[in-house]
Amino acid sequence: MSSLCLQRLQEERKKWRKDHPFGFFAKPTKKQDGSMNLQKWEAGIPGKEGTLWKDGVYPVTIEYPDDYPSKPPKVKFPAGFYHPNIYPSGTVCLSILNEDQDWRPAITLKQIALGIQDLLDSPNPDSPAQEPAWRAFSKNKKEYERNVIEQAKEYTK
Amino acid sequence: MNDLRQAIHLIEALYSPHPPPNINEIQQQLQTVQRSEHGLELASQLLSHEAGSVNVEYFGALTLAVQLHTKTAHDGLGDLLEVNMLHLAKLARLFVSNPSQNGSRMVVIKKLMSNAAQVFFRLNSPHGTVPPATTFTWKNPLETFCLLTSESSIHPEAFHDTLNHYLSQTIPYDHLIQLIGSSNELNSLTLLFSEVVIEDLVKYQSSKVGVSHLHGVVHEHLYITSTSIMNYNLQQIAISFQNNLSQSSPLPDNVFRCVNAWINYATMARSKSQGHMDLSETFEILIQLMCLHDSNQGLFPFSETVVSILGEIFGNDPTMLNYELRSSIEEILLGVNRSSSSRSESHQWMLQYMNHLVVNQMFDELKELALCVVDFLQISNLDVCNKLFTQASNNNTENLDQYIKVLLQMTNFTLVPVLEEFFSVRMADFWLDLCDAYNNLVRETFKPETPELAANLFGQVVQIYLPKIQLINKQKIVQAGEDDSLLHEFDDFRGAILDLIESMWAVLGNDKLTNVLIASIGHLTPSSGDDLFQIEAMCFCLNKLLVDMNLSESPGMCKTLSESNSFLTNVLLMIQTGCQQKGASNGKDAQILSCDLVKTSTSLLATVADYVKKDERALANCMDVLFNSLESCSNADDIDTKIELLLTKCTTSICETSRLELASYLPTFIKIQSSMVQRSSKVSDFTKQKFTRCLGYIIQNYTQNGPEAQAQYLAEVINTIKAGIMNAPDDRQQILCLLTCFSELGSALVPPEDSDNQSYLSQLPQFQEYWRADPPRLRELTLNLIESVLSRYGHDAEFIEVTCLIMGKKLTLSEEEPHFLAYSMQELMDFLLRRCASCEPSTGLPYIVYLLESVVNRYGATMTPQDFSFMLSTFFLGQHRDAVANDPDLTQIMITFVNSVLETRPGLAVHCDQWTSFILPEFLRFLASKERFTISAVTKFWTKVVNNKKFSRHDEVTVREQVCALGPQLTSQAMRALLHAQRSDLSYYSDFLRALIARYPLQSKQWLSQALPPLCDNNRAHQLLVEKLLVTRGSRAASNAVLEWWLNCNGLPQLT
Repeated sequence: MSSLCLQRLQEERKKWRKDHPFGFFAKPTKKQDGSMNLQKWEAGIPGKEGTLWKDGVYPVTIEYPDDYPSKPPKVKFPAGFYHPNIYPSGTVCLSILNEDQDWRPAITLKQIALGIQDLLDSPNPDSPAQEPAWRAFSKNKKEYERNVIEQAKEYTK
Repeated sequence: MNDLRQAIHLIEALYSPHPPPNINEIQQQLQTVQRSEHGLELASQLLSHEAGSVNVEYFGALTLAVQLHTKTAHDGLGDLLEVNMLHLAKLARLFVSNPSQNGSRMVVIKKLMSNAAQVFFRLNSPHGTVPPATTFTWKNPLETFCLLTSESSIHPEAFHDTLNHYLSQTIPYDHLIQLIGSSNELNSLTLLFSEVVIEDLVKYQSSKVGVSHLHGVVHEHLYITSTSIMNYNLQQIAISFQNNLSQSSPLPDNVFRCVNAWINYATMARSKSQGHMDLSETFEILIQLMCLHDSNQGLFPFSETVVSILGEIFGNDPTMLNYELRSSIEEILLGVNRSSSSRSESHQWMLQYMNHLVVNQMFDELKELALCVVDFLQISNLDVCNKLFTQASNNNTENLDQYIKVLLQMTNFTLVPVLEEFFSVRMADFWLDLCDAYNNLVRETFKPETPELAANLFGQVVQIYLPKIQLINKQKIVQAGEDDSLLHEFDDFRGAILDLIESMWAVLGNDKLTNVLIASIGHLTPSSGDDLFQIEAMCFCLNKLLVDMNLSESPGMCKTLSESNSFLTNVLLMIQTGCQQKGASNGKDAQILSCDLVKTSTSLLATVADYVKKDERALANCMDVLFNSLESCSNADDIDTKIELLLTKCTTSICETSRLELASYLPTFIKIQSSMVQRSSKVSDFTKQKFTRCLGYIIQNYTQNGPEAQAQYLAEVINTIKAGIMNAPDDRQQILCLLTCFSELGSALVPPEDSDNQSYLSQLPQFQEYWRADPPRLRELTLNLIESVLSRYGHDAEFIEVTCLIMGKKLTLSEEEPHFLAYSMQELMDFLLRRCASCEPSTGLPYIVYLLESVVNRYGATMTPQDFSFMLSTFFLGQHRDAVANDPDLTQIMITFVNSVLETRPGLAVHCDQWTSFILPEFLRFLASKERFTISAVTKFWTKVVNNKKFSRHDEVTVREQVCALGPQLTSQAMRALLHAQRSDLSYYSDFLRALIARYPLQSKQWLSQALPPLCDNNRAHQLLVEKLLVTRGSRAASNAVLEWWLNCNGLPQLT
């Protein structure tokens, strides 16, 4: 890991601990020897109140590449997570996490977390990443809503 | 615009509280003049206008700003500065002479100051090429301003010379102090100008590059003047307070604002320029001001402001303060210094200030102080860790002990966390960092007493935080009527303590943490709510420690749990209490806390399920409490629903773990399930379904009495579901729920992969035989029930989905494993054909095809190409042909279906009737599809066609011949589609191209050479693509080659 990456991640950790949106959590994972792995974080994204997602806190892992912040982190939900813009592997398809699209080195963990929370209830049908949720969202809203509510129970707050 | 009067009229209209309807027109008219070559003249006239209002003057200043931004070169910059400074000096002098009358002009003065700052930046930026006629340097706007404003008189006609003279003039320190000391107003304007320049500079540098020269000029000139003025003012504030406690000067706000601006700038400039802008002297005086107080009157006039300034510095750039300053702050804040044994008297201020804030309930200020102190502590965290625990430092241990004592006291503030005090909240971060730092230390560096010292210290931290995170504090927050954000903040605080506890476990281990928590929970006999809150806090932490522990492999931990007398009783009591208090009539606080009580207790119960199952009585108690509690739920409100969900999840978890041990509970479960699935029952559909799954787990493991006994229980459950369905033929939701219950039952009957049920394994042949024969005819019963429901709801996709799930349950298991829903291929096909005949294809067909795919996967070995041909013609090319052709989703489902066969038994597809007549020509056409998932499926199809390891020799020969014949067309179609595809879909095509070139290298080169030129006239790009693809093996390299070609042929810029 470059010193720039390390410095920035320490900064991100500090900033997050001091100020993060309520209901969210994010922390670096531990390596096998018990030391902190700043390049891999575990986080929880709560569903927004007043949406189908409200009852859940959805777990994600955030992996920072060695050349972060030049390159964006990779954010993953559990494999099979039901959402039109989440790949079957769980990887999030979001423009601010795409190096070729809207990623900027100044984007913070807080912005990423809030961006993902927004994405939950505002999927982008033009950028489908998985078939079942995308198809249901586009063609069968009732089925889509049923599955989202069911999933929220699995990840209940 | 003809004259000044007209301009003034328009400006007044523009700023009028009731603007005219043509405001946009006015705005545009004025903007045109502002940008024109007459702009400077207009600005000057507006600012000179004797009877002009503040609006008119402000518009004049604004016009100067527009002129400044319109001029990209430095042409006329001197004229502009002259006009600007003339009026700035004029207005400043007016304000100095009569502040009360000219106070409203401050807005104009500020704008003119900002204009001056912009000129200053432009003149000192490296690319400035000032024309010879106006060549001049300007290094210190502040001094120029002071000199101009303190001039006895200013004559506009002589101003050019005056300004030129003052632009390069410097003021000795004494004279400068004398000048600003002579007038409060001049002093305040000078501070304001310094603040404006430096704030604008922070904004200016963010949009420009190469401003280090400008920073250098600021450092050499403006910084010296400004710090002189600020320090003088800060000292005057201190003197004024010391001399006359009651008198408060109006200046402190201006000074602190200016100081803040300079701190922000210095933080930024440190990384952008050479040289360090030292503000130590300023900080020294600020610290003195912070500590100024009159304890008799409870007066701390500057403490809050300075604490906030210092807090910002510690949080953002603590090294701005040098070591000596940090040491002195350490003594003030903590009363003790890590490095020396001296005791500081200045700590008295801290004690009195905290006392003042607590007594007067100034909790916001207390929070500010906490932020400042903890951010300060974080700076030296590693140092503290080394000094405490390693041999690296031979510090005075008594002093360190004292230091730690202060930190512990600070954590143990006796107020309600979040609501009243923030020290404990922020200190959690400090302790976590200290603990992590300790855990990362090399053991060889420890002092002999280190492990004991660490255990003792972190043990105390645990003891401090356990009461802090108790729900009683949450109750106080709710009762205080604060908004929900404080509740969230408290929940966050509890979450942070869990992280801390987890980290401290590495120091304290089970002996000093986990076991202590278990014992403490078990020894309490709760007689009040407070006791229960105490138990809850410990359970909350314990769950975090146990959740990653596999209790079935931790006999020691199970022993500790069993020795802890009332452990389980107390956990269950929390569930009971939560359920008793969840009603809205008990008030909002009781409702919120009941949810927390149930959440903590059910989570812990599920975590210790492996322990619970070993104790028959304990398991019985748990089940009784869970059943009774579930019974109390009626989905009356959100809290009630959530509690029901928590209870259900816990019950499911325990049943899954204790399926064998719960065998004796089967009759009870069946009774409860039967009553639960009644229409009149108030429990949620989710609970009905999960409870049926629980029941299924127990039946699945109920094997000791042979398959007949198991079948008997199954029949009972199925009959209950059947009766429920028959009794409510019109209740769509109820029937759907019951079918989902059935599906859950079927899933629960799939044995777990790691099943160690010896009784079952020894009777496996009997079970296989039994379910093959199915004497109770449960399969028939099920199928009849499903058909009967579908005779009414056969068009409804949700019913198709759930019935397909039921019918396909056995298909997830291997052939030998018994299951009561083991339908034959014929039964499944008949079922699917009936569904296909009556479904609405766009919503129902996908579910039917999913099951069909499972059937082919399971029975593929016994199928013939004719069978496959029949499936294809019936499900896709029969009555639904048009729908499949017109609906890209259905098209994609069909392709995916064919792909699944190509992956398992490709011969079935390759030799079926439709292979050459339909599949190859149509799937070729689908290559040009625009839908991502269709592209993904169809490119996968062609990839599998050109390269398939599952092909038999016969398949291979057949397909090779077909691909060779189709090659030119296939390549042309794929490349055309690729050229017009979205960038994010390119990889699908490049995977196919890679496979094609790997398997047909000679032919594909020719096909590509033929296919590419007609697509676009870019032979160089085509040639490059072919060359690269032919020598490329890796997926990434192929993708890059394709991307490069795609960008090139679409006229898009190449990636660098």
